[in-house]
Amino acid sequence: MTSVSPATQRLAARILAFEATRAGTNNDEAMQVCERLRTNLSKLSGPDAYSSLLLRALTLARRVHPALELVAVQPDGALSGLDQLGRGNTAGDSPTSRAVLVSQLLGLVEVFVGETLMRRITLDAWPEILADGELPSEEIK
Amino acid sequence: MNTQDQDKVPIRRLPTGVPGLDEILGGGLPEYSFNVIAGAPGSGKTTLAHQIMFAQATPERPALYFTVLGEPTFKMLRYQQQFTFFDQSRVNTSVRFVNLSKQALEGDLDVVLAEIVSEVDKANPGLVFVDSFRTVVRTTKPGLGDFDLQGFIQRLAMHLTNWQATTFLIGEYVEEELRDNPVFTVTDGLLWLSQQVERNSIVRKLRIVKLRGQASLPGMHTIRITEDGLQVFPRSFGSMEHAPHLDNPRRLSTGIAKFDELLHGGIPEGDSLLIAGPSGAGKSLVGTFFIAEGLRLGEPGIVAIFEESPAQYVRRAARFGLDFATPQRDGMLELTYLRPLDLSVDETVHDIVSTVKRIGAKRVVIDSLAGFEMALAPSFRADFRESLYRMIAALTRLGVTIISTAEVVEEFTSMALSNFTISFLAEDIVRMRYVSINGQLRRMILVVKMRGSSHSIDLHEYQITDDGIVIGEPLRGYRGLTSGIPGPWNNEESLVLQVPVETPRTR
Repeated sequence: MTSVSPATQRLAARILAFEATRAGTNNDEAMQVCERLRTNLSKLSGPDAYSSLLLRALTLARRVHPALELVAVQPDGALSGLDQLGRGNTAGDSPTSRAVLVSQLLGLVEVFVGETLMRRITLDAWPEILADGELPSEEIK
Repeated sequence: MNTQDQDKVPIRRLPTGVPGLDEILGGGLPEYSFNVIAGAPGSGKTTLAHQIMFAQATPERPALYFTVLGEPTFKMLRYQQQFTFFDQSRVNTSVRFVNLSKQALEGDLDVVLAEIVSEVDKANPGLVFVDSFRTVVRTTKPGLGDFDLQGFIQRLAMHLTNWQATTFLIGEYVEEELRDNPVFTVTDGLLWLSQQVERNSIVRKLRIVKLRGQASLPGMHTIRITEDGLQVFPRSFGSMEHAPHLDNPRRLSTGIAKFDELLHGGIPEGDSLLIAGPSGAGKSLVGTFFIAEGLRLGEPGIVAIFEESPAQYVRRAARFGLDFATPQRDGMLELTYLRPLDLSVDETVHDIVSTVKRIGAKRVVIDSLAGFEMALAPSFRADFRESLYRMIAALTRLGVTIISTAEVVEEFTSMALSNFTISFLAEDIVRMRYVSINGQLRRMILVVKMRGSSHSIDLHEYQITDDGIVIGEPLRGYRGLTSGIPGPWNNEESLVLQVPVETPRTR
């Protein structure tokens, strides 16, 4: 598995938590996170590039959480199967599987463009977090 | 200013952020112009585009960078952020990237145009880049003719100009397309990048093929890509600067009193003096003393050396009692060591001219022209003579006085002035040579020419001693001295020469 820095893992956890608590959404928080990233990253690098990046992130995350085998990346870059993914009730699953998937995705972006640009691109997808100042300032480079 | 001038619409020229490029462009890029950055793969197109983008983009008038089917965006960002001009904090504020690969793959230029127009409408950009525009064209559906393509480009140009954006289409093109590619017909500016490979060296060049509305500098200009991005070395070497007019130039002492006498007082300020002679004649030593004398008088100097390292040069000067280490430390003396073997004359001159301006140099020594030629990339050697002319002109325009040394292969039948046929570019020429007299190989010096001023016409013997160059009395009683194998002027005269007895150094 690609080693994801603790700071990037914290960022992944933060945006997942934000989506989980966002009012008016019943969707899976990982789905919400990936959809927002899909919009921004597809605009930046093209839908194919985003899809292949997400697929790679999923492959890496499955090594830690085999339950993620239930999840798939659709040709258009959307995630499917998250609704079948338990929340720590099945073997190999844990509450962190979603966090690992998102961490891997952000970690891959970081591998290519560096931490600063990855954070900038990611947080552009969550202007609410930036506006609320909910992230420690040192995390916004 | 006449009435017509007052009525002209002012075209703002945007600084490119690329050192040397604005000079070539005639002051910068015309605002709202529609440009193509063309060239072969690896010639620096994308880097040039990014450099311009980061120089000009602001949060209020950001840059939109459309990527199509060329280099993947993540990789492009990965590589481009290595350059110092790439400011990550401005990504997604002043600088925005938009990928058009999905639209391009549909093969419909109208879809591509609609997406560009939509993004431009939203972002209100001051700059728009499409990289690679070539791939947009290549993905179009079969059957699209030049007419359709030209129509698309015209609509694109019209939209972007009306949106008050300065636009750059980036694409891989070959020279043969210059004549009839419809893209080039529509554009206002065409910047052509190329790279030339010869033996083991690669030389990159930039040419402004076309630029509407202003006078650009013609010709091929060398570029180099470093961690700071592109740097352009204009062929003009700052030719817009006027040479200082000296009505009655002072004479600069060479530090060798007797030599000054031969020059009737020294080298006229602002002159270029060529010292030609064989290996071991002491050409470099004359240059060393010239610089040392300048330093003694408080005049900063530069020595461009090609055949030995600065440390060696300083050590060699010390052997003659000259301290070059201290002025080097104090910023009065710059020893420019140039030997990368793929230099262009333009880069070399840029280095020297920058240093002249930086330290306020009054004296420059180029030691030697042969070493200089060897340091150049092979492709530049063919133009060495012409380049040298431009270099000397650029330096004398700055008012500095130059000594260049040129090694000549000594022949004992004639007396060549240099191997480069470059004597035309020196106001003053001094020749040092060996002469065979009485079974000894001796040294002789003469002033061949000094443009616009008198000089000694005597041929003097000289020696190189621990104190430097010691010039003796004129050689009398010989004919054929310039051939190196003199004979007696007549049979009655003695052939015995007097060894110099003076020690005429002024130090």
